[in-house]
Amino acid sequence: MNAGRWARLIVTDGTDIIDLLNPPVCLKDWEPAIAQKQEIRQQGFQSGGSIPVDFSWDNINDTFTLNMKGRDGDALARTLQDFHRLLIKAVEYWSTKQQKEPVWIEARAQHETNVRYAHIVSFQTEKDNNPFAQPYFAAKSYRRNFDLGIEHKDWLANFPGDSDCVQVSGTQAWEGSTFGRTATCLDEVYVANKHNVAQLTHIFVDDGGVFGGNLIGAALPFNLLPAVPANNDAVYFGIDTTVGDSGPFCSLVFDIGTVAVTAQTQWESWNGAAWVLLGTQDNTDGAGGISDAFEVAGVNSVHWEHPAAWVTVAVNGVTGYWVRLRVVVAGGGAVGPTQQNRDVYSIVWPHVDIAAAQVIGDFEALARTVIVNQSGGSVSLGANRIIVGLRSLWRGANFSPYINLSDEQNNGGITVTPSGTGAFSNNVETPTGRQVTLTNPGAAWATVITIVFDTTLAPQYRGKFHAYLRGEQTSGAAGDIELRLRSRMGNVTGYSRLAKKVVSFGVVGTDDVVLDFGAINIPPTDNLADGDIAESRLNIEAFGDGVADCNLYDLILMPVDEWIGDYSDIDHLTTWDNDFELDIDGVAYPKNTKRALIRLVATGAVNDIYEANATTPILQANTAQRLWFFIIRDLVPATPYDTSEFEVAGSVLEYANARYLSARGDR
Amino acid sequence: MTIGSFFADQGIVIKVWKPTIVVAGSNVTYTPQGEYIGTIQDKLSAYSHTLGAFGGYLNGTISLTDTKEEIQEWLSEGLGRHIEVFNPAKDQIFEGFVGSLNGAIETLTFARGPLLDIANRVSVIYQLINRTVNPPIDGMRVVTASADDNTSKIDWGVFEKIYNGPGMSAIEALQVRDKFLNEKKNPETDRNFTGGSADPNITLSLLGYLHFLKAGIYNQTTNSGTTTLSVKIEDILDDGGADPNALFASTNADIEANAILVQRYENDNNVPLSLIKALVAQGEPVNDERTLFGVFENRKVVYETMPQTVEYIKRLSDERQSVMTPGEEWIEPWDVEAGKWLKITDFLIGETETVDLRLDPRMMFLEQVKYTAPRGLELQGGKVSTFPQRLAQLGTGGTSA
Repeated sequence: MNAGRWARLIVTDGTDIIDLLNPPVCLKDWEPAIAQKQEIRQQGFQSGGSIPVDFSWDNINDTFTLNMKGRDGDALARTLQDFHRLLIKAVEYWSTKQQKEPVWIEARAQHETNVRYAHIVSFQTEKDNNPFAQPYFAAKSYRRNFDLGIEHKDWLANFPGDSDCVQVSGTQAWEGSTFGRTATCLDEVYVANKHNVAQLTHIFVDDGGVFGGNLIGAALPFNLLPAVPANNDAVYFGIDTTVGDSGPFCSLVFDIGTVAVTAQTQWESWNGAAWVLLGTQDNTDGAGGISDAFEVAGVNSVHWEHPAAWVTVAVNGVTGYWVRLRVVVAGGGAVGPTQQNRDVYSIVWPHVDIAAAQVIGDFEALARTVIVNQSGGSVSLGANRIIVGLRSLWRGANFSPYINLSDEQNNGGITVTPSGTGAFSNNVETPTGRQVTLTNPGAAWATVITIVFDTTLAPQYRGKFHAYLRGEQTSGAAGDIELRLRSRMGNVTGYSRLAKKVVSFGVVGTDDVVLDFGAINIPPTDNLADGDIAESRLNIEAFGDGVADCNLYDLILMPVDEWIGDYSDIDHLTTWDNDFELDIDGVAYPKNTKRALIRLVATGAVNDIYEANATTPILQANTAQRLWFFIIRDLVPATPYDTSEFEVAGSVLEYANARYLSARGDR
Repeated sequence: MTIGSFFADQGIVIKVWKPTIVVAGSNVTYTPQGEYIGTIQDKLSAYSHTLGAFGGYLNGTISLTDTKEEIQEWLSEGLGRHIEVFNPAKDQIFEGFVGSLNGAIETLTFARGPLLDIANRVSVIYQLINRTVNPPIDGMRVVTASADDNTSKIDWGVFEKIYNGPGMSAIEALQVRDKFLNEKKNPETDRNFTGGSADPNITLSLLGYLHFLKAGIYNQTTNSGTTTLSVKIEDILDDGGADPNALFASTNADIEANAILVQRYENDNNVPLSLIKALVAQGEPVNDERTLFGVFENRKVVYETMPQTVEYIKRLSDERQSVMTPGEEWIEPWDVEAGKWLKITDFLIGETETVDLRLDPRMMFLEQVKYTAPRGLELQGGKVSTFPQRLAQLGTGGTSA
């Protein structure tokens, strides 16, 4: 064995170490085993050889031939005892509830850059050699040769329980500017519970009635209020509705440099007659009972629910949806805040991006995703069920699970067309301000919305999804309108298949109700090769009693074919609200890689367990990917409906422990 | 690959609840999703479920290997627990309850149940004998008032039984009733010591909620005359005697209209499932086609005419041996449903498809589908004709399920 002085092979629990390369233990031989696949195979009649239809990785069984030698028999015995105790501890980690410390192997070959780690599951050592045999008598040296079998998990980039930060990003290019946060490990990457195209177009500062220029794209840092604010000075944030794909918005993200010093400020929106108080969760507001925005330095956000009476208005000559932050009382020594580092933006995307280089290894990495609620607190924008879906970017950079049921704010390859009793209408309380209204659907199933993915976009949508719909039944009785979802390939005559469930609203007059269609394939075949070109379409079909209406906001297609996790507060005790983060953790506690913890953000203390309806969370290795989020308020079982407020938002932190079949080298 | 690791890798989830049962007077609120226990897929050593064209979620089996403490807990608390199984796409694929269980801890083997054998609302039907005269005179057959055991009802839900007794006096009938109630109010438990030893394990025999249609008695003596078959099914589902645990409701059902007229009056102390079987056996009135009845997710009842189109295909030569849709979307074995037509497409190649699917030898009507983890699938074909339905409408014959 050519074990150089830089090589490393130890068994440890992080405290006690048995070094297998240095006396008294010396490695005589080890031929590293590779994880074996456990396959399920099928074979058809006259179909040739069998094929695997499923596989998973088994544990790895390595055999180390060890030699222990030394002149102190007691010392040798103690070392062997310590070794055995570590290995027993390794087994107890898995077999008992109380043992919480894992035991692992660390290995690095000579001239190899990175150490790899493997969590020990069990061990086997059948016999010692004869302590009374030669050279015991001849050389006065104790020597023990034995084979040690160790069963262990995959090789990891970090020791069990540890992980590396994975940089995530969330950005949007629109109207010549790029909004959002580039890749970072900081808690500054936000996700929405909707997917809009519309982004801020204008920011104006009102200094004593005199408006400044548009601050979108302005040199940074810039003042968000006059340097010395006075009463009724204000800063306006708006989306110009004369621009295509525009509409209302429900959040703003700031990066405050100089913090504001004011006595009282107030967020306001225009209701058609006056600027009125806008209820917000303002994370830029420091402690204290009086509303006082921009008191906290760094990246923070402001959230609100679309006011029902919110209408467009012209501000400084620009007509659009506007909110403003007005100085109610400037107070003595007032100081205006500054925006630094990046443009102010609204959170309009429901995903984080992960670059290919961020997750390495030979196959999927164990992952940990922490989602911090940013929107709840002062406004009712919490939730208690979060669904996360993973999709590799190579499958379609233009894929989004969220299809707005509107005539705007979708990818250009998507066409949404209402028919029959369906028609587009305005509703400011929807993600886009537009929706499809069904008026008195009759007692025969009829297509009310057709969503066509053109031949360019359709390949990017190929896959399996769990489909949800958001909307509101506005009249009639609960259950009067039934809806179903059909996936169709090709044009209107192509083969089609329905999603599993027919759904109906369990309530009338409640908005943001979420309906669950179940799983659906797009297109409804697994028979298309990569190069095959075909349109795909989805039909939403309705059946009613002719006396009930409903509004449909958006269709959400959560991808299920790479990885999906559905995490919910099954006992309905702890809402994922402003003080809480959901820790979806496949890393930190190897005994249970499917846990989901609700932690207090301030302390990290665990407050509740969410049910993990999921496999171990993973990230794909060596490929760019996106994690998509859909957030639901899962009401108590006695309530026959759930809701999903699209204004809910969070921020995401990501970690991974890469997995390897064998040596790491420098990767 | 263990079944547990297969389910964990695939994302198949088995959730367990302890039902909450609240008894207030004669009203019972039985909530299957009462107290959430957790998921058990990681501990699986075997799993199967069977779906039926009649019945929907019919039955299943779950075998678990766990610590002695956990197995003991299952033995003590497991009977009646509510089970839901979800596929990787988070759709439900089975729902039921633990109808009975058996297992072993070292040399002790044990069994508990069946739940449905419990009787905690009991009456006795008997022939009244008058012994005050000599010789005693046999009188009419009469029924005692029912007696309930509230403790048992709170523990297990309501299970009504009518004991068919011999000739006896009224006092004797009440004694028999109370003795029967006392004997049957709790589930049977068997224990044996065996020579061998076994790792702690338990097998849960699951039943779909269809079987709760055996928990009550349906009598309807208020109205005579006729009603349509579909309305009568709704009446049975909504009847407090037929469904004393209030698990079913016509408002949680898709009942296809069926205009066949049937008698409303019922006074034969039938369990509702028997009546429903007889109603379903009559088929639909236009073409005498079969009708299907099933209990599915959230105890939703579906009653409909059997399909007339092919919904699944399969090829003998397919390497994956998948059941597919006609559009060739692979259906995972745990997602395959009963009550659908399946066509074998590489069998009798070139044969023209018949309008009447039952005449095509490549067609198979899936009477029952049994999924066995990890990827086993048994498809049981059923005979499909119109004659039995016509006979049932005339008052003879019935469905078998």
